[in-house]
Amino acid sequence: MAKEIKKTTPKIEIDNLQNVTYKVRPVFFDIVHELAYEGPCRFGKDKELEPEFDIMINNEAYKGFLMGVQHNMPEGVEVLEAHRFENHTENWRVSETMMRKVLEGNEDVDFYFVSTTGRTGEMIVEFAQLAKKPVAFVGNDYGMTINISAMKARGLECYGFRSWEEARHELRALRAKKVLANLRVLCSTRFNGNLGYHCANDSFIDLEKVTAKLGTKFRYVNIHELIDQLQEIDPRTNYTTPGRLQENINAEDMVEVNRIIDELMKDADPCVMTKENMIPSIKMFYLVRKLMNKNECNAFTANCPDTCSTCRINKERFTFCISHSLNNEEGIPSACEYDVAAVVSKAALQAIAGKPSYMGNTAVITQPDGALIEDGMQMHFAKDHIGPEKWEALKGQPNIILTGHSVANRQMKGFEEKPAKYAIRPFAYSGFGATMRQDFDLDAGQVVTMCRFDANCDKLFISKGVLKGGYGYDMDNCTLGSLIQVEDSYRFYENQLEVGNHIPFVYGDYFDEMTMLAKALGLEVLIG
Amino acid sequence: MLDKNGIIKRLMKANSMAKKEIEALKGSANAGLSDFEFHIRNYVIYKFLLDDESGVETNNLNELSALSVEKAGKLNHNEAALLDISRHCGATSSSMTKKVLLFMAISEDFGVDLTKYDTANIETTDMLAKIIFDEKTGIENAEKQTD
Repeated sequence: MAKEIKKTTPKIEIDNLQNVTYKVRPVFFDIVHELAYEGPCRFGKDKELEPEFDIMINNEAYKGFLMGVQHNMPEGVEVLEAHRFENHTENWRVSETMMRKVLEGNEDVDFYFVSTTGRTGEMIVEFAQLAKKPVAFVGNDYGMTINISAMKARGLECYGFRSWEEARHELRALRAKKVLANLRVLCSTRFNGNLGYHCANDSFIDLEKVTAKLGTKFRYVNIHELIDQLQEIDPRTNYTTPGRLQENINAEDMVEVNRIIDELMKDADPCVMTKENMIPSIKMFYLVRKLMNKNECNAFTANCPDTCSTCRINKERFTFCISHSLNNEEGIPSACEYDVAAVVSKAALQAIAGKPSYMGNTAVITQPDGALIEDGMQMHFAKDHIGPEKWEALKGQPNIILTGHSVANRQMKGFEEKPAKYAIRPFAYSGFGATMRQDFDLDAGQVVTMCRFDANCDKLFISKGVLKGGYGYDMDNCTLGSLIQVEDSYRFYENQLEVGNHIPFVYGDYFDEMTMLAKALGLEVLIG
Repeated sequence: MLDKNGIIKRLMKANSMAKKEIEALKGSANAGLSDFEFHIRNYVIYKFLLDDESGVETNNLNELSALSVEKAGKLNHNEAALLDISRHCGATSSSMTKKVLLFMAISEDFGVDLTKYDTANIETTDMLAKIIFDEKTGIENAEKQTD
């Protein structure tokens, strides 16, 4: 019988990205003819020309419109109270009072669905100009092409969906855009804030540009100040910040740290670390959460390679690996090696899929004709991790890539799913540095979607593939990885050269939504 | 398929039968809510030309108007004007048009004003019957008080 695994949740509040809701308001534009007459702009017989008919048909159309919106929204989308432009007649006077009424609360709206019973196009365009928010029609009729093209010509963001399914895809993408605008990354740095000194220098060159483009914010904590706070001492006596009250781990925190370790050790299959060796990494995880809370952040990265050379990691006997695992599985995008581009990519994938992502070094293993690429240091490294048996089996399998780092999480199938089987093993061969391992072989056949922003935040690499299995579950160190079959490994490689190494992925096919997100963000799409 | 004359005859017959349902209610001093429910459903069935269709068991007005649109297509698609099929340039469907024209007809037949209600929320023949019953009872009580 499968082991019942408990989720590991620390008692620290984080403004989780999963809680970001995209708010849509339906707005309906009535028209009621004052007089009964027939002509080129309206037609009908007898009662159909009377105002009573218009009143009732408006009510029918309004109700149908609301039902359409209410029953077709994807997860993470909230439908606000509908507004209705009433009492418009064929005297064509546009009531300023009514226009202001339908725009009430505009500041709280992300997106408008509009509908009408006809001949109100000018008003809808004016509404969109005043609202300065995306406006959409749903359904296949000529009113859509008239009004959408009129809005586009005026530079207004607008959408004409032929079906609710199309609308749902786009809303998932637009919600993801909002998620990125609400992303606040805690960056633990040693040198400068944009890039690490000797790792992930394929990440964003200029974080201010990222903020301007995506709205994502970055908050910083110096790596020495961070490590100092691992000490259970008077929080005003840290070496790097004497006199300043800091967030040092205290006795109360250690109760939680011990609980988390006990739970992780109990459910791991297997746990090959001693509790003593796990404590520093979990203390760091807990400290990171405390600082995220204090800095009101909801994502994290740390410069482990730059920090490694201070020797303080070795002295304190921790790594950040399990912080990333535990963060990701709770909806907190968290990336290795100060790869800020990977954090944002992970946030984008999570926002679209509603599932956490996995990341790692990514490299092409086999050519489109199935031939293994045997040359290069990376390949020797990968060959050792994958093992000779699996390596040989890859021969002849076309378009295989690998993605690997020891930062698995147990919720790849969804935050609400039962946690997957996992192992706990050390990063360092001397026994410290807790890592979480996942057996990707168990999920072979799973479709995955990958993405990565380029260093200028101008392009988005998007790819899709099928998980073929993994490696490194039973090994120590940064040896965990996944094997994925993509459509064209040559094209994957060519476009990967434009964006860099770490290519995060989520389970599921979200290629279309990721492409829509790129479009909504004004990014060039590179298909991998 | 019926030609234009055939459709007119069919409509006249249906209207005559619908009128009998109204008269049955108007002619009974003690008609209760259940009588209204029974006769108004029949009225709707005639108005929607569904009286010769078997297996129509729903009393949902949206479903009945959709069935009626389907029936109109079977009778003669080209005679839309006679069969209350939508010819509007706005974003409204034929079944919406049928439903609204039904409300207007029943308003006239019973002398009640339905525009004060959000008619889009009248979903079943029973809901419609309840409104007509309450309106008629209210009018009769008001008349008694005036006398």
